[in-house]
Amino acid sequence: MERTLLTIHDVRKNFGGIAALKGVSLEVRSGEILALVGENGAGKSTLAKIIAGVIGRDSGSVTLDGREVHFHSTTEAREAGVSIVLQEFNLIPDLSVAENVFLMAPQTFRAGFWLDRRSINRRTRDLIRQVRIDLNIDPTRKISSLTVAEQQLVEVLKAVSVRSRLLILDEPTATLTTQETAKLFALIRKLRSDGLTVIFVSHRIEEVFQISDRIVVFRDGEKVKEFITTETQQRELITAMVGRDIGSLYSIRKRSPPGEVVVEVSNLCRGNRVIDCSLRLRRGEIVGLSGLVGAGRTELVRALFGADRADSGEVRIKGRVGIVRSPAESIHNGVAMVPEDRKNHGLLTELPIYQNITLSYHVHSRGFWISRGREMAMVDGKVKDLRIRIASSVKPVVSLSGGNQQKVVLAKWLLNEPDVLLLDEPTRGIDVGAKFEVYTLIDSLAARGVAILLVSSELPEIIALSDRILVMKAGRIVAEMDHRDASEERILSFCAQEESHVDN
Amino acid sequence: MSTIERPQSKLAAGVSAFTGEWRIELAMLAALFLLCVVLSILAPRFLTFGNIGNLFWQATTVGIIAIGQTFVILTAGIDLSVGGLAAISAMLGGIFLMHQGMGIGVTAILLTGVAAGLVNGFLVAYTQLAPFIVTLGMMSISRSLTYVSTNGHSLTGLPAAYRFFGAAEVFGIQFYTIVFVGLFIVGQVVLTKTKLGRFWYAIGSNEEAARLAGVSIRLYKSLAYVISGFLCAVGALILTSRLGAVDPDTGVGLELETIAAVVIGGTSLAGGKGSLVGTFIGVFLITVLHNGLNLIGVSPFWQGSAVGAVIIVSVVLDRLLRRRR
Repeated sequence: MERTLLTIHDVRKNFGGIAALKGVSLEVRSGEILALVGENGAGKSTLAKIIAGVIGRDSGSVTLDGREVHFHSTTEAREAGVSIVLQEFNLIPDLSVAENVFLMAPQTFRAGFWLDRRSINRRTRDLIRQVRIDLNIDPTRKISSLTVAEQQLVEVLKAVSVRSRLLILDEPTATLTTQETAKLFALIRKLRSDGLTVIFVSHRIEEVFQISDRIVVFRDGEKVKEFITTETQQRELITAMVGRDIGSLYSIRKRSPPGEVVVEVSNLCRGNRVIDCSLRLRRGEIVGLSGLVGAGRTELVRALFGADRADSGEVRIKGRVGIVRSPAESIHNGVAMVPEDRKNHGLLTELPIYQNITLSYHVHSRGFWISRGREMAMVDGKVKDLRIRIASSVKPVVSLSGGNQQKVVLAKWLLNEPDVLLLDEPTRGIDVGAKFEVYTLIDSLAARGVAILLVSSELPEIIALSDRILVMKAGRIVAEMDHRDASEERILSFCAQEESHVDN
Repeated sequence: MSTIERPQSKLAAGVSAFTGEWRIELAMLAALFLLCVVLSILAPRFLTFGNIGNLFWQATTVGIIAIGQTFVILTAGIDLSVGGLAAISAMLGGIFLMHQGMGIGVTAILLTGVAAGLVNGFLVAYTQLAPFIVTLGMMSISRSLTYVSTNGHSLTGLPAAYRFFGAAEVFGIQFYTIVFVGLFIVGQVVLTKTKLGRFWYAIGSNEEAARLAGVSIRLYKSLAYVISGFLCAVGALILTSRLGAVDPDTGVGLELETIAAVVIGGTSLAGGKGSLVGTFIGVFLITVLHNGLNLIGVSPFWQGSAVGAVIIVSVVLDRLLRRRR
């Protein structure tokens, strides 16, 4: 057995009276990949942030290499060899890759003052070669021109550039495609073979099994169980995370024959991301839209909803024909869209929960006045229906976990009782328990006759929920199949040609 | 983090919800109260009826215009043209007043404000120009047109009837005070009880999310500027009515005074957060400070420093209060 690199003993943390960590102890062994898993709000990210000096701890100790440490900032932690890649990257969008990697490093400046671009570009190139990343990133490119996956790589490069011993990745795969995740994992394994210890925070069970050596499960601020990955079944892990056996996540859907066509899209085009797309949605039907990130799925949904205006083509809803000019028009036609980017497109994060839930209802409803009593009754009804776990609906949405935030977005649209629901990655970044509830909700909406278009990067999810599956590639719908004929391999065979082709 | 509801009595929960929702306003009110106590000790004349009347007069114009400024800032915009708009509406309207009589004159004052607000609103909402730039331009244009319209002279000899707005009393209370307080109440009701207010907050909080939820961004954004322009005209009308003349320098510096009042009142310049209750307190905090320092005999040269310090301290306080969640 390897020696212990990091020991955490009885660490506690409260946020405004709410216990986020209730006395957690664990050990990290040198050279291992340790996964911290749990539902959102379980405390795994909090612990990761405490270790890396992002936030302080209330009590308990963190011992690195036999020496107790108390980092007050990520800079202090990095100097001691502990780096963290947060979900929200810590990069400056208008600076180049190299400038970001060596932002505060002494070698960035000649004579301590003059920016030495040539030197840091060369050093960055060396680093990329050293970690053998096959993605070819030019050190002079601006961060803002990179994809999310590439930006993440820059964060990892930053960690490597200061010779970290411990690298913490907080939900690193939340916004990556399957291919990008595979590349990240290859990089993590390579770094481990160079002697790096990795803490991998995630709630995606499949990934944890692919990458980790050991797994620590968190629930409600406590460590509930430790597993050796190779000796563990997925089922055991899910049960430990959720605290109950939720049965099989993917057998929720009860299908029935769909009704008449409610939406008919013909030859919709927008730029080079949506090319000549045609599709139909029927009442009570779930149509899955699959494809790689960048294949144009989000763009198609947005053009269909009117979030972006299509260049040509037509959308037929309730007898109205033509392109959709605005989201307001869609709402009027009984269409709702749950966007991919929850925080920036779906929520007013600083505003109270109830104002988020009723926002679209007020757009839709008549009159000028808002009755507080009626509004609260509607909000409470939806909170109960969707089992949104909140202390009070006047709290800002930002105080909720990812799963509950997503339920707020769903509640907002369901108040309008839509006929057509466009769901773009509805379970991204939410935990297993909330996922289960969202699947159940989607199924019950379809049973009530709502036509649903479901975009998802998780193939098991799309196969389990859809009646029909469409596959997009490079802006076009390239395949259509019944769920009975669908398999991950079959879908991938339609969309997984050279990814670099799609990227450019 | 998962939130756990702690057992509380209904009353205690209500009180804590109230203090939670109005935390910043309550803190500013406490500061204002404290300031009044200190001033009334240092300057015995501070707490006299006469001086309190002065305070309300001094707060009126800046207060009315700060209402519109609050609306605009809630949408994450800013209106730098308020001083210029006040001047141009009083001046153009004043010319009508001299030649066409009361009805047309007063209508012209208000319409000028609305029209100028419409220009602001259109440019901000229908082009991608930043509110700062648009209203900075309008500030300069409206001031320049004010000078052009009378060749830089003041407008004197306004009809006697016009003095009504600055002098009339209802049940012993100044008419302008009723307008001033009334507009604040109406404004706060609009913010909390109507879709207009709700959508302003939504736009300021996250414009794209509001658009995707179906909110007509252009309509509601331009409305904020139009209302701001209208209130500039109302403020100018009351001011010039009381003074009995229109100076082309009317309203110089109002943009900064109103923004200061809004910010002191806890409204975020980033939009989406704040209230008119806060702005009301902010207006009075500045007014009381100026008034009190005058009474104590502090040189006007020093008063700018005091107001500046209050702005900075209040924003620091605001941030500390908001962080604690």
